[in-house]
Amino acid sequence: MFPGNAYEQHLLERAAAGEPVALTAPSVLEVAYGLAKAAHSSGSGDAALAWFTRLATSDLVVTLPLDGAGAVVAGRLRAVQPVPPTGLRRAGTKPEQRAGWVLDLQIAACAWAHGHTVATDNRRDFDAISDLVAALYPSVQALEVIDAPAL
Amino acid sequence: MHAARVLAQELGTSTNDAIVRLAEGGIAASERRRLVERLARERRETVARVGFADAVSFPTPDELRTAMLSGRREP
Repeated sequence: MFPGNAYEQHLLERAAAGEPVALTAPSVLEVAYGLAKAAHSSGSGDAALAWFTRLATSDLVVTLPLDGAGAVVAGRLRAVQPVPPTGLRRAGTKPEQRAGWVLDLQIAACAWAHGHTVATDNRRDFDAISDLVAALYPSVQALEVIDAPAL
Repeated sequence: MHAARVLAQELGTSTNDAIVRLAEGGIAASERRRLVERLARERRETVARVGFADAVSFPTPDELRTAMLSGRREP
């Protein structure tokens, strides 16, 4: 997503309709980290970070906090599956892959604990996490994972 | 009525039809919100549930210290 593209338009329409898109706090962390790192390394200013900061702290989106229930679930998932099971798909060094995996566990746990669905381009990993959640908590509905909408 | 008039103009339909569409949209949104709230409540109750034996026993300081540090080590 970036300023002016179809995703931002979708987000604005959802907000106008009174059903703002929900972002998990770990997703916000991930994007803010990436934008801040890019701003530091390129030295080209942090307009993108400023844009995302305004968006993430506005009423246009709802940020789902990683609270007690979500954090317990994320920790339990990590204990069950400490490294990504679908390693072939991921780029980067092993530590980077593991950092990404821990973030994905937090994103999934956060969305699940708040009753939300995860929309993602990374179906394989999140489907795997959904199976882990279902094994841990079989009595309730598992995490729903859908493809990120093609806009 | 303003929203209905605007929607009617956008869709090229009557104000009455726009009112019905707005009402249906509102009901659908309300149902989606209720579903999310129900799922969250059920899931949180499940997460919080622990067995009686586990609920009345406590970890030792050493167990807790080891547990706190283990997340910072390589698996």
